[in-house]
Amino acid sequence: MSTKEITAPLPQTAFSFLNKLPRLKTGCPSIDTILSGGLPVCGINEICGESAVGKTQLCFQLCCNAQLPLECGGLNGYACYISTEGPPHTGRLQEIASYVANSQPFEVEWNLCDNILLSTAGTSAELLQIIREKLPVLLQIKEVKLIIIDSLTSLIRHEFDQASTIARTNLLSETLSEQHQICVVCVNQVTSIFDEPPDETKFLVRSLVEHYKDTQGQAFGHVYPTIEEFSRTKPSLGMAWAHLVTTRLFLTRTSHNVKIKIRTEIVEEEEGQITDIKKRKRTESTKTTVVEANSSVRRLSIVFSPHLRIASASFIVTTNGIEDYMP
Amino acid sequence: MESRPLDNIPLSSSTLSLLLKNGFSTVDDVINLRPSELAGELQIEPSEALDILSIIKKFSLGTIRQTQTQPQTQSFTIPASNDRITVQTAWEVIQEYDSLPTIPTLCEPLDDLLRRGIPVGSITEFCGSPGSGKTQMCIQLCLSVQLPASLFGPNSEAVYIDTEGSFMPDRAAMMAESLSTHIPQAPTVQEFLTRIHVYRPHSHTTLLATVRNLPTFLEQHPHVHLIVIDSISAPLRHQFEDGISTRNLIITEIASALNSIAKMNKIAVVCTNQLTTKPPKSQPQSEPQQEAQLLPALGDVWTQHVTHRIVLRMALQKQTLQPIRIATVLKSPVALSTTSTPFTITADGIRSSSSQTADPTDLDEQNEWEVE
Repeated sequence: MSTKEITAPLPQTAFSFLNKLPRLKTGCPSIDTILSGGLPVCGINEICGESAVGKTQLCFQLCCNAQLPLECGGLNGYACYISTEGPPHTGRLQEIASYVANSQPFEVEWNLCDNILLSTAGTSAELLQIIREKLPVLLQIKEVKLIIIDSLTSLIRHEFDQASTIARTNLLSETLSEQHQICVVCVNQVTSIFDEPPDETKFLVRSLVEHYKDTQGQAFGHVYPTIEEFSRTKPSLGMAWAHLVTTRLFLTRTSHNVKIKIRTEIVEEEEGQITDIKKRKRTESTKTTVVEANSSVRRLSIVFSPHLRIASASFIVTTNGIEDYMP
Repeated sequence: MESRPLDNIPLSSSTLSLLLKNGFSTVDDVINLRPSELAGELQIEPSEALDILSIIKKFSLGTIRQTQTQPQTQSFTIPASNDRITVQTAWEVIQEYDSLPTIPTLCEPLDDLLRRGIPVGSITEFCGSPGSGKTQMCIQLCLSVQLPASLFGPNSEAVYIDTEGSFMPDRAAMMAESLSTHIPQAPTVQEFLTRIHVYRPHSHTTLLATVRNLPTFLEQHPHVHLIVIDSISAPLRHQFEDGISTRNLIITEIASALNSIAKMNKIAVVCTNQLTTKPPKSQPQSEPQQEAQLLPALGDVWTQHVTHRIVLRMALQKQTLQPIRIATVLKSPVALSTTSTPFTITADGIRSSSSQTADPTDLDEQNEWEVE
């Protein structure tokens, strides 16, 4: 390809797009505060953390919030959720969607789940195909404003040619993000740290402590950050990927526990019969019971971001999704 | 001037071997022939001979690079002093260097290390791991070039080439606000931001096109004194299917274009670079294994074009365990023996570290960087 035929992009002044970039709120006030409004629609946002820390929950909540109008912190568009770890738990998605819909100041007239487009990819080639071929077509017919890849890591962790997949995925999604003003979120797994935690980890924890002190720990119902929380794991995929991420959010479990109420619907089933979740109706046979359970308080930390300081906020995962931790 | 050998001309290998077989080895041997004469000599069709001649004529005028960039450089206004090669004494060079304006980083110790700040006329590189403050430094420089104290005069402008999608105008506005409230005669936030021109190339081809278009842009905007590329390595690291040699060609092309822009227009060029992991040399089992090293990306091809290289990293102060950020000048013709300094990133931007001069032992840990 001759470089002469490529026209250079035109410059714009920084002022022309000041405050023009919309933010996607997470729906958890303390997290939105440290993110100064929510996830930015620029570059690639990464959510990483060990399993069962709430990554997918947060993604579900983002999918629901993305459909809200701009003034409510949403992006006013469809959400596209690409799952690589088997089909996503749609029941959980419905729970979160109904809570998000009910907690809005206005009547949400549509079913939030209807505007979440799900897709699954089993291999990195499939994922690249989705991003390269399917998404551009989809973007022409639907206003997709959020793309979540949950998770890139599970596909390429065991591949030898990681770097090229990483780079291509990144390039494609970045181009999409830029051209269509889409918020791109990638989920990443973690790798265990066996030795002494690296300097970056120590630096992060000390900076989190400073942030804790600056805000006196009150603003966000904050739990004191400890090195133990961060010394077990670090984000996977190494430096090559980390350089491509614009904003990295790290989820960890704190040592605090909290009692949460879990609302469960117990369906009285006939023996031996498996009920399909779609066929299940709220009849008299469905009883709602509330169970108390122990759950750990989690923490979301901003590891790096071009526009945010290193900070953290604590949250809990409840039936409603991700919520503030109120000690 | 010695005549150019034909194998410097981008001819197809079959054509080249045909020419060489018939005794043509340099440009001068061929250039004055008529197409029909050449066709007769080589026993080919006159139209083919015409094609060969036109290629040779096109590329014989100078090096390949010069001809390719000619469309842009034609519109260049070369200062009168550059018309012919002038010989300067070392004293004059020093005098000139001292008289050139520099861009303050607003971290005084770092400015001192670089002798007054980021110099114009050469490429300065900041490298570091993600989150080490590269983008912050770039945004800060775009603002501080506009300060009245930076000697560039009013209406200075900056070009920001953002290849990673990480330029956030909100952050720039935050830093600009602090400058315009604290510094007398500083521009307003709107003025600050209007004078930053942001390009967003995403691939190496668009980056190259952007760099090639810069001379035209600079002609229209003569007050630009700083060009930032954040980062130079993102589009150049992974996207090459046709091999490393193409990549090196493009790196050289970009680097020399930037260097000539910097020299001709007296502009400071600042690039950021990512880090890459260099696997350790395999050792016999009995010997202690070496640890993997972190090195700036893009290899020697790029390093040769960089005049100043500064590594940013994060560390903890040994005694107080306070988190500090450290800037280490790795390569610079002016750096003195002390090459590291702490700095901080506040809401206002890059500042010198408020904590008392860090324990020198903290700064000594740069050995890993010195092996290149």
